[in-house]
Amino acid sequence: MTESSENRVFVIIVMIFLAVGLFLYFARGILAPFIVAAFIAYLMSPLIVKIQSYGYRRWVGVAVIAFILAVALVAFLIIFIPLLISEIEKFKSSSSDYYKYFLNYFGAIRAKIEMTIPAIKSYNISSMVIEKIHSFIVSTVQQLPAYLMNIFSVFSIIVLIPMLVFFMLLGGDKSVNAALNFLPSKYIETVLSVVYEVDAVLGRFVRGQLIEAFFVGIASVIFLSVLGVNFALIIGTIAGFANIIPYLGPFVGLVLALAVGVVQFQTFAIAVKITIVYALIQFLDNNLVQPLVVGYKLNLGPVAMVFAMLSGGQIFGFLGMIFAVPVIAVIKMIFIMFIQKCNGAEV
Amino acid sequence: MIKKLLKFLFTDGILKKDIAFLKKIVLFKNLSEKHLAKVALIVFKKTYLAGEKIYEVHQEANVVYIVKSGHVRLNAGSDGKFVEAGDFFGEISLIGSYKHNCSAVALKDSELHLIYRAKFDDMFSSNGKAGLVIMKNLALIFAKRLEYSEI
Repeated sequence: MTESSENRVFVIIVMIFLAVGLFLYFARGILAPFIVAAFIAYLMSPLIVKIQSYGYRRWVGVAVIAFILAVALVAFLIIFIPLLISEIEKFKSSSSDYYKYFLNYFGAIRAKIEMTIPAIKSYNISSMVIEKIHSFIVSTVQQLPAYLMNIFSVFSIIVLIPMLVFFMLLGGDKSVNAALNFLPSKYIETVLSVVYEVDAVLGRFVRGQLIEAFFVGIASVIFLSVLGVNFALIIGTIAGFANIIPYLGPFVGLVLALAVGVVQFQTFAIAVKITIVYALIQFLDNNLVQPLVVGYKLNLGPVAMVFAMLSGGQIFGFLGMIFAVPVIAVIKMIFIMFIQKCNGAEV
Repeated sequence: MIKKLLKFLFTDGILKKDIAFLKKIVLFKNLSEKHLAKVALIVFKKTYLAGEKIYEVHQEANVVYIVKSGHVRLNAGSDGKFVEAGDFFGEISLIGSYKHNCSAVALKDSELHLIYRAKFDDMFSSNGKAGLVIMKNLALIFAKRLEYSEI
């Protein structure tokens, strides 16, 4: 390939990426159900390939998966949701107790501080802080269901997402392959090898993350229930989801459990117990679950990850935050492969 | 009759034919039926027209090509080799990201089964045994070639 034609290919690729990015940005309002459906289909496809490898047609695999998903969904709706709602109701009603406890606690601290620095008395800072925290917690808890509903309207949850998942699974990579068949054979090899490499890494990463989240969530619920901490289900659910977020996630569950546990039992011992339990969960996760399921690290630095997450959240909201890290990893991989190709061409 | 209908409804006939075809390839000798099915499922089928270039010299090798039907000619300088149905080429790509030392052209309309290294590696990571069998076959192929070519 001559240098000028290579440059032209590079420019075209960059322009295609820009156009796709711009399009997705403008269409971000309707993206959520498609992304979620593609995500579920992507997670389920290895299971279908597994069933296929026993010699069955693809639709048999899809039917099995659809059945399992439907049972899981119904079980979720019947068992989990009422429990969660009752816990949220309990939290709403008892949040004033928690508020009072914290008021007392802060009151004691305030008295101490005001004793040592009398000048601070006139500013009334502590009551301002308490007021802010209280209103923040109450409004977050009250708005959470509405917020989730906003992202996924009832229609998209009940009708659109299952339908999209079904057709994506049934079609498999047929449509993608058909489109790829139009590529000139000169490029198809390179393009597909990049696509497959990204797929292999990303698939393992995403599946691993999800299994990890499940593990952390379920382990939190079990351990907190054993300790007798209130709202184990809420805390466990949040801890599981939060675990997807690197660095910050694992602390979310710990902080929540500590806050609830300390107020509930009013002892120091419970704080130690909860901390030990969370350390144990993280230890098991890092040393047992992660090596088993992930098998591949994305090799992104902490700064890059945090930047990706925050900018994803800024542009695409909640979903952007969750998908930012894998997307950045894919861009990095493609970039590295492209650089290697260019360097290889010079030799 | 009903049994036949059920069999037709549930079992994948195309996959079975693909497995039967792959079974005859030297590269997949001694591979179990289940692993053959897994290989058949990662195959990318592509038809090259007569005279179409499949790859050129020094192009990066990422794919093993298995000839399902048709005729392919590999050219390295003045040397050449014909590849017929049931044979394969580009096997160096299974080992790593090397470059082709020859070019490949389809002489007739040829249906090729492409298997990408990335997909193979992904499969081997969960089916180590299958990977070992295939690598043994590959080693044997290379060994035989050495034996017959030099000294």
